[in-house]
Amino acid sequence: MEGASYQRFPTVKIRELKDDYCKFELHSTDASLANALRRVMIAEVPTVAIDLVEIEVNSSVLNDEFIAHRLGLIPLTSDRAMSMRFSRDCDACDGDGQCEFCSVEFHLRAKCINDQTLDVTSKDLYSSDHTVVPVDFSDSGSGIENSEQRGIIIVKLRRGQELRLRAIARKGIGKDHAKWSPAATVTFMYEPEIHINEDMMDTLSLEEKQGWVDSSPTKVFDIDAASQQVVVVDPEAYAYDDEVIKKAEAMGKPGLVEIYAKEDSFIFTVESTGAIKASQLVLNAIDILKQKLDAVRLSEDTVEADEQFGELGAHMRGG
Amino acid sequence: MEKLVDDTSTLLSGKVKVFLDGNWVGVCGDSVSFVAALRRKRRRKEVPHQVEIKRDEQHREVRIFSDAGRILRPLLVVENLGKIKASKGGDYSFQSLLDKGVIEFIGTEEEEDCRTAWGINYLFMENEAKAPVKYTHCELDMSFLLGLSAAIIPFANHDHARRVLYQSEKHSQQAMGFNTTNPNIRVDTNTHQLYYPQRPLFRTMVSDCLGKPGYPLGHNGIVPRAEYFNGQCAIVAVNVHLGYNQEDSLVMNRASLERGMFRSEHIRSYKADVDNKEAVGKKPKFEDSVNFGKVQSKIGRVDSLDDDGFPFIGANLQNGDIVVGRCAESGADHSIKLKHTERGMVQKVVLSANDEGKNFAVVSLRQVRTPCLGDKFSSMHGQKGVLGFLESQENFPFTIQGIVPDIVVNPHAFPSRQTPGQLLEAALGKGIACGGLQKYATPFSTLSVDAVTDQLHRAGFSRWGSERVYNGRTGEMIHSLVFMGPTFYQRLTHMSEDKVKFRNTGPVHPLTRQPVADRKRFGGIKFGEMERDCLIAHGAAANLHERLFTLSDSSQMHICRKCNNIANVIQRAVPGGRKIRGPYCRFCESVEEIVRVNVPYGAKLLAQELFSMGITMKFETELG
Repeated sequence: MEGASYQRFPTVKIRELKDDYCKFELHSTDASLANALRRVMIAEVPTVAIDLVEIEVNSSVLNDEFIAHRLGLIPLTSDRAMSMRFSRDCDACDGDGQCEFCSVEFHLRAKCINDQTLDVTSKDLYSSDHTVVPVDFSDSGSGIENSEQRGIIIVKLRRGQELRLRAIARKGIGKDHAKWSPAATVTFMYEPEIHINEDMMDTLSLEEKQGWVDSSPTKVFDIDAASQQVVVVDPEAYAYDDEVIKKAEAMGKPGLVEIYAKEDSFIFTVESTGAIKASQLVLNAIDILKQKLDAVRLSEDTVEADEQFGELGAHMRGG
Repeated sequence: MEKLVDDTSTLLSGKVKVFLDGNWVGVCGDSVSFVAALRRKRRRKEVPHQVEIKRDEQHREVRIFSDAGRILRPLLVVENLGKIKASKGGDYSFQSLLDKGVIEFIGTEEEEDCRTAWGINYLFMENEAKAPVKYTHCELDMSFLLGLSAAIIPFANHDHARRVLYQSEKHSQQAMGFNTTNPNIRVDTNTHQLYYPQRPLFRTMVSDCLGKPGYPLGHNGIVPRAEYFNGQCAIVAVNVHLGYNQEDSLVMNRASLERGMFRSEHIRSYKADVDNKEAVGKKPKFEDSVNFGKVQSKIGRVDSLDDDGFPFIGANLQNGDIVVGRCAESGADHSIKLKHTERGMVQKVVLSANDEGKNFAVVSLRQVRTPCLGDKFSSMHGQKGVLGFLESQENFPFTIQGIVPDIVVNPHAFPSRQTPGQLLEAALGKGIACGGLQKYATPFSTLSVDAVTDQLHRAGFSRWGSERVYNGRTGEMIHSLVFMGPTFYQRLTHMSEDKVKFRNTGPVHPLTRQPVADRKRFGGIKFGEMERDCLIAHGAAANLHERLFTLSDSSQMHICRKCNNIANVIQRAVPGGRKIRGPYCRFCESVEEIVRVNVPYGAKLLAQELFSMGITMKFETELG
């Protein structure tokens, strides 16, 4: 195996790209890389979220901790997060989270003065930095109702109740707290390869074919109206739920269909919370994955690397 | 009915006695027609609905009850069912049906006289002359034979009866929810409130009847009610998870908990009263009069207290702090201190007086708790479990849609407990969450399994609720399918934070000098006889000696080797005028052969107590 190269050249094919949604294919790589990417997107891509709340006045029905927790979960636009510092290793402020390199300050003042219930929302949060603001979903689509344009509700106030606070947002990662996770959904599936045994399929009557097609909960197969043949309409709709295979067995036709998962191509679905764009989330994840690998490579030639990584260290030097 | 007359000439034989609320008020000749007439009157509203009429044939009595505190339940009256059709304008409210005599209230004793059909379909059997009985009444719904807490369990009729009892008697009592609408003006000694209570996905006939009347049915048939249940809908996977959910423990998703799932608020109130200066009656002694106020206390910190003796709102009190500062005029400290396990933020301070005019104050402390290892949770099917591990989101198996479970329960919880209801609940819940319209899980009239599986199939899921998942650590596809679905889970009030018990050194009992037992007093855990037997069986003698002697009540005393009696340490005069202190045998009047031995203080105490009764214990000693 000396000198054998394990180098691969993964390719990405983007299928769909929206601000908060992204679907792409990842080819010629294996599950370890696909899953590493997924894990990094969930837990290690940094964002900015409210981390420290100083409450001045709170006469609402919710207690201070409750409001602080709700504030923390509000997604903030974090395009700057990659270049920000973690407040724990910020030299400018000794890590107390008060400087412009590692923190953003927010203010909230709300008081209900009339008999109508006042909704305090994320729009009432005033940021000291215009690049870090609560996410705004109102412009992302046209069909959104009016009520959703008012931002994320923090608390509702009745007449005479007041909420006044100062909040500091910091950079963090999803591993420390879920509020820093930029990912709403990150998932992938193996691309399926579906082979219908046409000879066996021809032995079925139209009714049986229809029954078999209907046994799949998702619309993977259909019957061609003209030729009355079963065709695969959407292989990716197949959720590997084995329903059609079980149905074929129940019909006494095992092997009617064979479905393999392609081990080297994946279909990713990424949805973001709005903190960063879905496309940026993927790019940031790749950056972070690279940084992590760099950290391994740095100690490549040293003796410690052998102790630390064992065979892997030797392998890295060889390849 | 004839009125009872106060003479001896009226003949009572062959007549039936009539009692009203236990008083004999009259007699009647034909009790059947009398009772029938009375019941007809009740159905026509000539007699109040809540009157109970019981005809006791054996005792030849008719008992009528109109007093308070009886249990009544509504039943349909079979002979009046035709009147429903006659109702004009479609007024089918409960009250109007009651007024028309279609529904009537039946008490516990009267129920014995009724022949009640369990459901409407039993009445139709009667029409076809299949049924052997002639029904007089009919249940409104088959699940109405259960109480509230049992009738809101989905698919309760699929569960083992004992599991239904566990849920309805125990877990529903201990579950946290939103128990009151006026928490801000209440002062309960201990309350728990769930941050985000939810209504379950499924509905039952009884859960539809919950809440204030007057709420209209909203769009999509979702009832916009203010009533919340005491739990949350969690995505539950039935799977093993690295062995962290063995023996009824659960694995939970840390990200879900950080997002607020099962988070709760706990309020504990401390009450303190003072002597009233203007109190009527005997005048208290001036010196002993106790008042609120801040004094430098020897027993705890008073930093958070204002001058009036109460902490300011929002103060963070730790264990050992004074909650209420109280002192007597004499200077004696009567402050209330937090026990070593208690802490919290001050929620409110209430000053008030009770009906006798005694002033008191209540200080409420608030704590916010996220679920932690050892907290107890339960589904609605008597399946309780403690939290065994908090796993990160990325390590959980994920489905093709990217769904990750909130809770992972062990599959071994199901076969012996016989609670398929929980699995049906999850399967039905999954269908409802995906927009299915079959929402009812009322006990005894539940959907067929086929209806549940068909709904799942229509929603694009595998019929039996199982899903293909990918390993969250490696990204590989897992060979077996995993059953997953939203299940209603409750957080129970038993939390590990209230139960942790540990100590190395700490307070000892003043009499026996052994460690105290109570958790509140920072006591230890008893090393009992059976534990001792265990160590003996292992032959771990040194360990046993350490447990029961060195770390318990080790003590020393003096023995005179000449007479084998205890030699006490005394002060005595020696020739030369000096006084010295030391062990001295009063029997031998010498210090010659006195030795010091290690004994448990308990043994020494026994010897001393016996000695005081005039019994002496002899100790034979040898060099060890």
